[in-house]
Amino acid sequence: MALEDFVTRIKDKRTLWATSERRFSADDIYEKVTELRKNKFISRNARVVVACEDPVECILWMIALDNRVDSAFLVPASLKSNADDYQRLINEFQYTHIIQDEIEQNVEKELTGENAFISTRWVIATSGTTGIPKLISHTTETLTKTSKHDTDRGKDFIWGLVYDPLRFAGLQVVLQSLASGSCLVFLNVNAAIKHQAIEMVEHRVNALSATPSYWRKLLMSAELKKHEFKQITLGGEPTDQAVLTALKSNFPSSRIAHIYASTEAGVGFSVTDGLAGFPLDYITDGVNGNRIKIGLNGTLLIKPNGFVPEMVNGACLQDDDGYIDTGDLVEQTADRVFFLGRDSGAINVGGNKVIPEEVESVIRSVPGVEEALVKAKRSGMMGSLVVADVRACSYIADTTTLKTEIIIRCKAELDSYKVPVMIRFVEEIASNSAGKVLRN
Amino acid sequence: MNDLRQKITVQFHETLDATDSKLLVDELKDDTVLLDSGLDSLGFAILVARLEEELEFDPFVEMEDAVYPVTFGDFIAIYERREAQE
Repeated sequence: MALEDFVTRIKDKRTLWATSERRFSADDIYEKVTELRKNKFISRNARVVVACEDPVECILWMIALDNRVDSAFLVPASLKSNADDYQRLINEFQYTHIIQDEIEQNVEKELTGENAFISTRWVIATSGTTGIPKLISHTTETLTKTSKHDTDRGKDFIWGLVYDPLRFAGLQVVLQSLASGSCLVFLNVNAAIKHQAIEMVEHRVNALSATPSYWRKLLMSAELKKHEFKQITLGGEPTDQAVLTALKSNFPSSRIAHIYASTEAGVGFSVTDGLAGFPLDYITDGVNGNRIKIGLNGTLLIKPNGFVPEMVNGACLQDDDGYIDTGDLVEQTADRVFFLGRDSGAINVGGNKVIPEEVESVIRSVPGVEEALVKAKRSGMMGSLVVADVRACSYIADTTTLKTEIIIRCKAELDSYKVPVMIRFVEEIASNSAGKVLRN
Repeated sequence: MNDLRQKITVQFHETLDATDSKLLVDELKDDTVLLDSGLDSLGFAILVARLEEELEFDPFVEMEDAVYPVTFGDFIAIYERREAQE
């Protein structure tokens, strides 16, 4: 089914999208999409970068471009703000046009060749295992295969959107609500959490997908004491038992699911029994037709059922048996499997990824620092926090001043969630024979 | 002011300084809503981590009753309950 069909089959006047200023029925969306399609550049050879500021505009463009262009690279706001990565990826994507405030044509790239056109490919950036974003190609079918399509039932759901709509997790919410004819409320994610909670109450949002850290913030906001959710979804970072239990006691009538999704494998699975981790059955019996196993180095491997997302540069993600390494370390107990973190050492602070090497290089750039090791500290509030072990040069007598200098440098050069919350001075930092810091 | 409340209050102000935040209320009272106090959720996670260094427990990792604090009074009560178990 094309994205357009999800809109045109809604025959009533129900609100499909709502923002603080506007409401859109199916007719309103279709009218906007028709307007966008008048743009002459739309052709089956076009490779389009979608990088508009306004999330509603982005989704309107997706619907307008579906099955009419070769591929569309969906650029989330956080990627666009990183100029180096953005430039590298749009070049790798070999774009012909960029949609931002205006439409810009790539003068160096001509529309050539006949593509074996099946359907528009949606290209998504994933942070991957190394933290260097890679491009992964999906289709509408792969992105909506786990969505529910019952528009009669769907009309009772009002989804709130707090993720970036062009990230994998956000796209799932956008497409789920579209596929089931539910209302989608674009919440103002730049506002304080209290105001977001008030907006949810005003719009009667009753379904929300967010990180565990976001849910903890909502629970602390006191604005949702009398609010009811039909559906609560957690994802983007490992879900602990405390947040699941707290949500159940605050919203007893809701269905609570925590999901595990891998952009690379293009699949995910959900757990609805109210317990952290996932049942061991998923490994023995598979889940949604996908096979799962634990690899020799302790990471979760997934063999997707059917379509496998492709790397845009043509690299193959699968091993000889068809399994994709998710890079997520797991631990198996008698009847359950729990997530431990990333094998790369990447730290997940409330859904934001921190690459230890990036923080270490900033710390090492401070005069007086000989070596640094950045690692995760478990946090009941944010999942993990960043901490650092530092070995000072032998001539440093006063580590208090050095500590202050490290913090000042980190705050100047890093996002706040990447700044170590604790710095410990140590005599030795373990490294292997090649001099590489031993992370685990 | 009891000892635990004193420790939490001191660490609260130190965390405000460490995160370049400012107290947005006149003073910390039991009915002060935490997320209106000037610390954001990352700030709270840092406060809890600092308290763990000092008290050697993080009630939000161990939490069995699974309550997230709304007010400063709730926050202190969670630590007091946990300390009473020692």
